[in-house]
Amino acid sequence: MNKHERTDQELVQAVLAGELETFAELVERYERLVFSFLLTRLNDLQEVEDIVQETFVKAFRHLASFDCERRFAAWLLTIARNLLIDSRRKAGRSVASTNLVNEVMLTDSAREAGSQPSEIVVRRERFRSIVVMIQELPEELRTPFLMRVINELPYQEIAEILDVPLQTVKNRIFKARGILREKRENYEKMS
Amino acid sequence: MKRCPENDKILLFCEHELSEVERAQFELHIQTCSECREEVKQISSDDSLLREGVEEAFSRHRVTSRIMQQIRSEKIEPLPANNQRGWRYFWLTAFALLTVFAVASLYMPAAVKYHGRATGVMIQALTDNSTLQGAHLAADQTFDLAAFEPAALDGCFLFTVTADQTSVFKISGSTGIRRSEGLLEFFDTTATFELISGARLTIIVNGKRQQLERKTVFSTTAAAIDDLQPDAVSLAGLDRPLTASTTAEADAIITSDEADTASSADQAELASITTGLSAEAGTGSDSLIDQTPGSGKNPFADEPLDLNGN
Repeated sequence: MNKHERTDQELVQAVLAGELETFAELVERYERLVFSFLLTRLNDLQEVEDIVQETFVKAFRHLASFDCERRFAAWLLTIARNLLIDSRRKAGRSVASTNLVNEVMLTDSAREAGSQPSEIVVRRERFRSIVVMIQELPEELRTPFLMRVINELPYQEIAEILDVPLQTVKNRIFKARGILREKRENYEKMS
Repeated sequence: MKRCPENDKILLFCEHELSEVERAQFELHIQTCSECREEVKQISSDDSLLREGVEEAFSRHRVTSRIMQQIRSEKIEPLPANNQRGWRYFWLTAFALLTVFAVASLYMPAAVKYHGRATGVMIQALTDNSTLQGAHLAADQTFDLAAFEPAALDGCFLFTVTADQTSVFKISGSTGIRRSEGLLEFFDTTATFELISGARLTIIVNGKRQQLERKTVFSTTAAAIDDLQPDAVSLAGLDRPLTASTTAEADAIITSDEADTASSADQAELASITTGLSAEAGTGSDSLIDQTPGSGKNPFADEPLDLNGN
């Protein structure tokens, strides 16, 4: 954060003071976090989009109730988690599927344009296996792990967002990495 | 396959959790250890692949403009502050009060509930010299109050009173007894009462309500009711074996009207019963009371009572 960048609390106060467009800055800042939080929990990316949108609209609507002593990201994830539970209850789903793998790895990805077809296949298979293994992690390990790897958040920030001690965050991330490593070794032995 | 001894440091290295010295040492190590080098490369590669895949999905599915468009088009405005928090505090306060109340109630003595509406009263003589209606009873001899109500007792007796619960208490002394509005009423009483077991009981003693409780013994005298004459009980003809039984009428709880009548004319009623006893005995009947079984037949009264010579 550079010195001209406003804090979450300042942005919230600005929105409440009438600067409606300032809310876009909060969306920009945390949309990726909410998106990745929902990514391995939902059936398809369209549903992820809908809940991300609903999360921010709901946050905007209840912005005056936001406790500025809390982290804005933690509050957003609480809203997202509640919407996710509602969504699953309505749809009668309890587990995420791996359909997102097909959506994530686009066939016409610019990044893969210059690659050999065999490389593309291996890469997609590897990505698919990683996603499946992550989805098998317990949520208490999966969430800090994804925050760490995808959002590249420092431990301290993850601890504040999840409201757990710093050491707990470290332990959970190490445990997640250990499980993934073991799964990968088993996967490689089988294939 | 045997792992490299430095293998445990791989995750710490990838998570930047090694000290500077340890990190420098491990960097030197992976230059010579292909196993650890490959492992580090694999973890780093997996992290990058995951990050890129998610980033790619995010770039195609981000909804910033949709969010802002919805807020603008629907003219959504933030709700007033503290709306939600107020309810939260309300429920927290309510929960706290309920908890305090629940905990406090655990330490407060329960409201004292006396029962006294007696549906069955069995009386057992405890000593040989105890008398019922002036006639001697054998020790342990048991009878139903309903068969002799109002009864005149003298001696030591054990009462088993059945209401919604059962109470057992002991009386030593002399008393008249009947039921009044479902409660046991002791009149002309000079006796000691002691609850032996069971629920607390409300009784009437010489016109006053008393709570007969566990571990409490109280004595009372009939001195206050000095306008009543001592009972003159005639037990002529009781020198032959008698059989006691109950009747439906005798088993039934007396109604309040009956109780009122009884309380106003207990002396006369007692006299009429004793007269009846004398008359029946005098005619040579083997029954003290009508033996016709009734619907409220008391199982305790099945055994004939041998009142002779006791």
